[in-house]
Amino acid sequence: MAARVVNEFTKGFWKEIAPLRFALGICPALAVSTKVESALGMGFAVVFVLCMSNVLVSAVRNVVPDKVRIAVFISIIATGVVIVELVMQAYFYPLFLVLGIWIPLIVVNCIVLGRAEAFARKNPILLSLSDGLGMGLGFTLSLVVISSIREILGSGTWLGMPILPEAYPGFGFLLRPPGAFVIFGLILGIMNLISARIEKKRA
Amino acid sequence: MTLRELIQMVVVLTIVTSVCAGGLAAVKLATREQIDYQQIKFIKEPALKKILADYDNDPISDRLQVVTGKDARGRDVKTTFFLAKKGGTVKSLAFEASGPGYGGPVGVMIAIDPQQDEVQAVAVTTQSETPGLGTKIVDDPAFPAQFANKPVSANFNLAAAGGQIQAISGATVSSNGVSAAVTRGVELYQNVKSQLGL
Repeated sequence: MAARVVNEFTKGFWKEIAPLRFALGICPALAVSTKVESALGMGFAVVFVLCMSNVLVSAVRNVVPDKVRIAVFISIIATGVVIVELVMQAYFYPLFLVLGIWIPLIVVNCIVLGRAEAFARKNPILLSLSDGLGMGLGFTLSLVVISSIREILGSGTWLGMPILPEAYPGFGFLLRPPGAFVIFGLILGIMNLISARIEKKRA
Repeated sequence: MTLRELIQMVVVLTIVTSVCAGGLAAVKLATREQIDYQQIKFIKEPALKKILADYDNDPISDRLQVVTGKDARGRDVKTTFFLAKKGGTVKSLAFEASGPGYGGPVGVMIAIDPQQDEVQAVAVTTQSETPGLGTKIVDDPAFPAQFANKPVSANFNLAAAGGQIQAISGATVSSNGVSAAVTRGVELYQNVKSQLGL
């Protein structure tokens, strides 16, 4: 059991890392990854919503009739998202201003509903929590990687701290949506290359 | 579908949505005061501190609301003026105005000296400009400084449009947002000055 819990947790970081393996949740991943700070904020918001929805969906999995399950899942997820939105507005106001519309849009994030439907409704609470935590942190990790590249090369800073010399003119292209797609594609390519190498060695 | 199934669906959905709604109402109540506080603190206060120099009162509590126009449906639009006083006389009044930027409206806080009819300072409050480029209207102090110490009758348009303001290179649209906001702001000030009783 312990091994399974660990396994469900770690799969979210490489084997099933959602934005990079399944192209799930890439909309926010591309939109809020201009700065590492906003990427982290978005990531943790998703971690909270994902853990909460996975645990609650798993807890009610035996009493909810199949025909209304999507309505129940969405109610649970939407509640979690509004809680995140209110708490962020109350205690992390600057972050709330940066993330703006992307916080309420977590409701329709495919990762959250996807994990509820594919995992939490068939598995016990502990496994679901570990799945949600792993998937959420994996999402955060992808955002941090994308945003690090965009922030360092785009504006010469990392988490707001200057990294490149002052004379660095900045590369505005990376801060705009097309730049996000290019970086995303490059990361996908590198990941697939590494995976192919590993497969080859095993064979 | 049996009656039993039907009832189960209704009961489960009702319970789930009621619990969700109740939980949300509780969180909303618990965070309401903190959110109001944060909104004044993070949006209004830093901008006020930046542009008001010499005062000994609390401008956030000494504020006036004045009807400054009508919206599309004919309802009154109110603008809040924050008064900075020293020794009882009003040294400056600060209020917000907005103009169209690149990523949405740009909001600015403008401080005007009502005795001299002069713009004292301008600071950007709300914006959604491109990070690293348009956000220079906030990060580069030299840009808003161009608006300071000019009479309210001055031309606050960008130099390209015949005004006195130099745009930030690479962020012309954002610069114009600030410029348009200040232009609207001084117009509004001139229109309502008599109502303020200063």
